Amino acid sequence: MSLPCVTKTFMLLGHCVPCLKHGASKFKVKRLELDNNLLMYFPKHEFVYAHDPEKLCKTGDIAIIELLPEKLTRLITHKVKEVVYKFGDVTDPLTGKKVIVGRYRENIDAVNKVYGEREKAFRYEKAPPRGWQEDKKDFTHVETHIKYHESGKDDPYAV
Amino acid sequence: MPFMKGVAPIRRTLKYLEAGRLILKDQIKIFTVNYNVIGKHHAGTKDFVFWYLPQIQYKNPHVQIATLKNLTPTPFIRCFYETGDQMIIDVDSKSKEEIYEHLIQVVGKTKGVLKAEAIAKEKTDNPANFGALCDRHCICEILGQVPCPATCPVPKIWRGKYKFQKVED
Repeated sequence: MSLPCVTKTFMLLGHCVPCLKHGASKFKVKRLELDNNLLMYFPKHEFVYAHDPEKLCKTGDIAIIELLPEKLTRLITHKVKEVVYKFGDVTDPLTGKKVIVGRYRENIDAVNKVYGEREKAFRYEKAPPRGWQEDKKDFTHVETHIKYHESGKDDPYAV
Repeated sequence: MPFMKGVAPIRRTLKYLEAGRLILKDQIKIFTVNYNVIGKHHAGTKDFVFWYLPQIQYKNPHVQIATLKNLTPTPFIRCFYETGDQMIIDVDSKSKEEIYEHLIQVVGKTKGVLKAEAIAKEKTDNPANFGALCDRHCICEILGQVPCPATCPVPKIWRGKYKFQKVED
């Protein structure tokens, strides 16, 4: 069974991936496609460009994207509606508290207080927002590649 | 069941897929299930995804179904509506049957709606049908049938009024 076209679907849940376009974010949309012979659903990844002028979405965020009434460019067909889960800073929708996988942050802090906190430990409240180390240590906003030889040219995104 | 390899291959039979009971309301575009891989209170949701997700996706081919694992401590199901609303259903420590029944009650189309849709589909499907939602409103419009009594009256011998009550004109 063939899935309806991604670029025409009204609402999608996408995973943000690196994108170099200005004012746009690229999203990886995973939908289940039925294999007619095995009668089994397999994930199919498609890429969608969404209009994001304030760059709300960073790589790794999970967001809802909505179809634009008219395409902005040939590729930008959707716009970012809402960031559902921020990368590294997930908020549990049921309780509204910050979580890290299977534990609440406040629980982790309480346990740490009993054991004794380290001075250099990472503190979420005092940490600056994501992006201050971009181009210095954080290279998630671009697609990096492995450098196999020194060509002499300065290539900051070659890891 | 040919090519029935793997864990619980019955999930891959047409009969099983067709037997799905949860048909999501038209407004729901995205259906996400959040759960952890380990955890006793997540076991019911994990089983729900294993058994019922193929059925739900089969009956709702236009809904994007996503499973997000290991994000939050408690499992939940989140539905995103076209209007922008969200429905969050807490499924902590619930069994797969409980979750399924609850979903049918809350986000599934009611039996009445499904019946009406089936009737509407049937009526538009078969061109030979006549009646309320079809091309021809009455049997008198069909070739070879008795013309409409509104235009040419039916012979008195055929009318029950004259046959049984012996009304003299």
